[in-house]
Order: sequence, then structure tokens, then C-alpha cells
Amino acid sequence: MIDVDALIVSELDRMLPLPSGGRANWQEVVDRAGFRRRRTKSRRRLVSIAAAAIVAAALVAVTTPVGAAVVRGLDGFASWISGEPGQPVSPAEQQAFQQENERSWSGFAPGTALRRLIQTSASGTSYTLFGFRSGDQLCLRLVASGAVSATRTRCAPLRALQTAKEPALVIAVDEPFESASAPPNGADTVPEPAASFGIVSDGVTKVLLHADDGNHEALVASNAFLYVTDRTQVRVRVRSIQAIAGDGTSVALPFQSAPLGMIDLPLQRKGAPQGPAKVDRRVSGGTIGWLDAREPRGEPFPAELLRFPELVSGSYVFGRLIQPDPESADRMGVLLTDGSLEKPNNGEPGLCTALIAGDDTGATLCGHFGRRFQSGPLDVGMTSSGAGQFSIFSGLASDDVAQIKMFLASGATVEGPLKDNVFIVRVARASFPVRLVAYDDQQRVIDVHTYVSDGMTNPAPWQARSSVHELFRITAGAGHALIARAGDTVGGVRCTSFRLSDPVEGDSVDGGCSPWPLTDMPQGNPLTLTAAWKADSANNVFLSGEVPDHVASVTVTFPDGYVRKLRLEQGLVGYLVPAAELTGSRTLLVYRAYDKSGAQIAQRGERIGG
Amino acid sequence: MDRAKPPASEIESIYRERYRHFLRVATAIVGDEATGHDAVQEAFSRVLTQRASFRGEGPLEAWIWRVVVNAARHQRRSRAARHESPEPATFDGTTSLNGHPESDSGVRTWIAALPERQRLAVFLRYFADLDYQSIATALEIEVGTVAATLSSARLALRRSLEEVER
Repeated sequence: MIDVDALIVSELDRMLPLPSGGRANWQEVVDRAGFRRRRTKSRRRLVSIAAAAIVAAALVAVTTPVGAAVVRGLDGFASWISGEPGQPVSPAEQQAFQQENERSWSGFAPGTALRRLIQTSASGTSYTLFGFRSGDQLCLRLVASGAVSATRTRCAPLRALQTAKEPALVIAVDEPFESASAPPNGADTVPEPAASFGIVSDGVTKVLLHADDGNHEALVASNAFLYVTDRTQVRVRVRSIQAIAGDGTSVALPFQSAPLGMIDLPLQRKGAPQGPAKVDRRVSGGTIGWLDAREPRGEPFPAELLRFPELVSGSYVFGRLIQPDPESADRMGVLLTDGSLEKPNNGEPGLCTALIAGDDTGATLCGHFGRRFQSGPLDVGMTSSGAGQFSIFSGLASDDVAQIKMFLASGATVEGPLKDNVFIVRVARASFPVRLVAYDDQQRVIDVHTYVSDGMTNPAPWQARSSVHELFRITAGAGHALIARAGDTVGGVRCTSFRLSDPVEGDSVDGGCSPWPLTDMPQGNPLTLTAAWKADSANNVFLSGEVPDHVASVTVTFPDGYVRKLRLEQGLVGYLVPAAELTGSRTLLVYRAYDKSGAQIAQRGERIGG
Repeated sequence: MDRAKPPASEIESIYRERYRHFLRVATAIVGDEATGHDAVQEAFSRVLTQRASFRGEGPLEAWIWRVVVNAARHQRRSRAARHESPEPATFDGTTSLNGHPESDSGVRTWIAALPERQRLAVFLRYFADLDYQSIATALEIEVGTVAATLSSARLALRRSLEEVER
């Protein structure tokens, strides 16, 4: 009897022994993958864009000295693709980075290597730009130490580098580095240091920034650029950025300027939203099976986070932390509560979602679980920051959703990672307008959300924004004040703001530009927009809001029957409620609106305090 | 809906741990180690870029084996089409992969004579030490077919060896 197995093994071993692993080269695999992605993405559109490319090349040649010389290639970003830009940091710095990662709920992948890119200083502060690749995220971390001490981390998806047409990627613009003594939100009142930084390919030798206070040259090294300014003027922003090659060829880099306050926002980008605009099948009232059944998906929700009241509305019942894309540090906390703080409180469970992004970005949304999918199978939130160049779309998809796609203004699409009903997609703010589309398992469109703006732009004409001026100011104790401002109505749009000036905790600003006169009031009640702000440490409270043009006066009635008239100018309402009038833990105030004839046209009650 | 795209780190880990076995099988298919290495590298780059298409219907490594085998077969066909090398270069009864004298056991001849699917099953079983389920996933066939294929291959070898002994 022949032992066939043993014979085969021995003969095969003799003919072809197990080779050595000397040829193994993971980096080569990664590099090939990078080129493959680029090839695959461009092949389909090659024919259709060929003519456009010729026209574009001709235009570039006219507007730049050489035209075709600044042609990007993914190979120019090889150091970033491999996760090895710049120089390795010291073992102590790497260890500190790893320890910070391990402590964080949104930590980057274990073993992520921190790299040193650029170092500079300004006005007694040393700025060091670090970079790292974690999965499919490319991150820049700017550390300031000295007169100003702060760390800012901003990340971009690797996809952004692979699909960019330009030889550089802007990651952050006018990132503020306030000194400890400066009030928050003070960019329009107090000069503050600011930094702009990004990633460049090998061929880029210069990066020029054009700001309101002139032109500036960034430091370029280690496949990155960094510009730090210790500005002496207020209301200064970078407006355009150019990457320049060694031969002088230049290319404008797409990005969005950082806003100044809530009104002086960059103009909205023009373009038509792409992708399907209508649903093929209407879906509502969906649910999330695993959440209904309290299945332990993802990771446990960190208990330490439960102490943040803004994260959980009501009493905590069940929570999980979901990471929809294993290549991204972005996670979302999904928490069920007893719903006790939801309004109306009818005993339904509450559901809170908390975006916990790797670069410190966060957002929380709470509401009734049963109503999350009332209007459609996607429950979406968008998070943008003034300096960061990527908006984050995150949320929940009901069980009806099989796939999520984001359509960019360029025509490109991004597939949103979807796991355990959670999705998180990063989109460049320069790629708006965008459209988020949900498909069912039959590839039918079942939900469409269109975003013409990243929330950091302003559709109002310049005259509407520049004409904003103070209407009135109501003062409280210790320098606190409520400042109402409004501008001219231009093209049917008016810009307004309320600033709560707080010399202790810093100013808060609420405002924006919206159609005026007001015609579409929520629930038809002209007093719905009234809000309350805590005015000072003595627990006085500011009331503020906007009412339609036909409202001639507004009053507030306190529980003891005391009636006071609110300040009303050009539709903006303000009032200081003395703490002495707030007798109970949640005092009921009744607002009444009257027209020019003195007739009451609206009434609304609100409980404040407590 | 719940498609679990395997993380690159897991793929890298499989690459680092099993590279020698992947190279061995790819070399057996294409005929030389340099081309085998190229096939493995190409396969893993595909795995990285197309990992979202991994449906989790079996072990990740088995799915990667499928990609590697397909990449190696593609390399072999391409080379044959370009007339760079006869197909298959390996186990054709005349050449020796490692420079050792040709075996006189008949195993090489036996392997060269096997239909391709049986030959691939033999490679995966004996070069990579894969179980039947993983071989089935890698070759996109039923587990029962793997068992039958290997059994049939062994039987063929046994008969040929017994004929030699007689």
C-alpha cells in the first residue's frame, strides 16, 4: 500500500520547497493599490472627459506660465500613501502619541506612526506640524507651544488625495490659535494667530496664500505646507491658495475660506447638485432591528462619556459605539434613553446619536426613537468647521437602506460606509453642492438629501452682509450684554445676529441670513423663534428672537401677572428677565404679539430656567 | 447591508504571515518565482482595492487565495499569449523549478497530466495546507467537489505508481 499523501508532500517539497520570504514587500502592494484605484476610477470617464481635458489644459496654459508642468501624479504623494512623510518623531513623542490614542474613544489605528513635517515659530510660540496616516485617513496635527499652547488635528480621507486633480490638498485654512487671554469667538474683534496647512506632492516647491492683508508664502517641506501668522489686524482671512512648481507653473487649490462670525461667511459655491433628485420608492416609519432588540453591535459605549449631559438626553438605557469604516477612526455613539427629556414626553424611548470623530469633531442629536425615520429612511446630520476643509455627514439609516452614495458637484460619487445602520462620510467642502442618496436592496432610490451649502457659506449678496449694524443693546451685570444687529434687505434676504457678550466665558453668537420679511413661520406662530439665554452669573436671562414685519409689539407676562413690553426693532426682539422674576425652577412666561391696531395676533407660553 | 470591509491591517497581517505559501502556489502555477511574486503582489493590491466586495461568506484568507490563484492563472495565460514561456512551465515533466534533478517518482508527470482544477486543488492542499472548505472558496467550487477532485487525483497517482511498481 502506498501512502500517497506522504509521497505527494515529500515530492512536492523536493520539487518546489517553501521559498524564502525575502521578496515580500507590503509597501509595493500598497503602492500598486494606490495606482490601481486611480486607474480604475479614471478609466470609465476617460473618453468622455478627453475633450474637456483639452479645453481645460488650454485654459490653464493661458492663465499660468507653463500650463502642463504642474501635473499631479499619485506617485508625487508616495510618502503619504506609504504613511511615511517627513521624518520619524522621537521614541518619546511616538509613545506620547500612542498613549493619547489609547486613551481616546476615537483613537487612530494602533501602531500609527507620527511623522515630523515642518517646524516654525511666531511671536514666542513654536509650531510643529506632524502628519500621519491611519487606515484610509491622512491627518495633520499642528502643535503650538509657548505663548500659545494648543493642538489641532485635521484629517482627510485618502480618497481625497487619490481623486484630487491638483498637486496639493488643503486640509485647514485660518485655523485659530487663540491665546489664553483672548475671548472665544473673537476673530472679528481681537487679532489672533492662525494657521493654514495641507499636503503637497513632490513637484510643488512653493505655496502662496492670498489673504485680505496681502500675499504670503507658506513653508513647504516634507510633502506638506504650513503658514502661520500672528495677525495684528482683525477680520482677515485667506481667500485663495496657489501651488507652484519649480518651473513657475501654478495651480489654484480648491478650498473654502474660514468664516468670520455667523454672517461674514464665504459666498456659496455655484453648481448643480448631481445624482438622482427623486425617490423611486417612498419609505417611512422604518426602524433598526438590532437596536430594538438591544443587540450588542460594535463596541460598548464608553461609560466615561455618559457623564456629559449634552450626550444623553434623559436616563441612559442602552448604548453602543459603531465604527462604520474600519479604515477610519470616525465612530458614532448610538444611545437609547428613557425619553424623559424629549418633548412631547409621551413615554416613547429616546435615541441620541453622537459623532465621535478622530480629529476632535463632534455632534450630538437626540429625539424620539420612533420618529427618527418618520419622513424617510435616512436620518442625517452634517458637521462642518470653519477652518477644516471637510464636512462630515453622519447619521442613521433604517433597515430599509442597503447602500448610501454621495454625489459631488463634480459628478464624482463616494460610497458611504454603512455598518450596523450607521454611516459617516467625509466630503470636501469645496465639492458642494452635494446629494446624499439611499438605495434599497433592489437598487431603488428611497431617500434623497440635497445640500447646497456646507453650512459655512452665505447665499446673501455682499450688500446684505456688509450693511449689518447694531440695532440695540441690552446690558446685564458684570459687562454682559445682548447685542442685536441687522442689515439691509437685499434681494429678499436680510442678515441678523444676536451676540451674547460675556467677558468671563466668551461671546456667543447666533445669526445668519434668511428671507425677509418673514412669511413662513413655524406652526404659523409669529412668536415661535423667541429663545432664552442665561445673561450673567446673577441668573438674569435674556430673551431674543425674530418676529414677522406685521408684529408691532410683543409683551411677556410673568406668573404673578406682571406684564412687560419687549424691545422690538426691525423684527428683532430682546429683553432682560430679572432673576427675581424667575421664582420657580421652570417659570412659565407667556408671550403675546400685537399688530399695529393693538389687536393680539399670537400667544405662546415657554418655561425657562431650571 | 452589513458588509464588513476587511481592514487593510488584517490583509497585511495575512500577507506577512503567509507570503511564502502564496508565493509557492503562485510559482507552481506560473512557472517561475519572479512571476509568481508579481502575481502575489498584483493579487494583494487587488484585494486592497476591492476588499469592499468581500462578502464575508467564508474566511478572508480563502477569499484572498481565490484572488491570488486567479492572478497567477492570468499571468500564466498572458505569458502564453505573449509566447514568453510555454504553458505551463511548471511540472511539465521537463523542467525543475528549484534546479534539483528531476524527480523519478512520476509525481511531476502526474501533476502535469491533471486537469487544471485538480492541479490547483492539489497545490492548495499540499503547498498551502488549506482545508477543503478554504479550497472550495478559493476555487469557487463545492466542498464535495474538492473532496472528489483530490480523491480522484490521489487515485490517479496511486494507479500510476502501482503500475510503475508492477
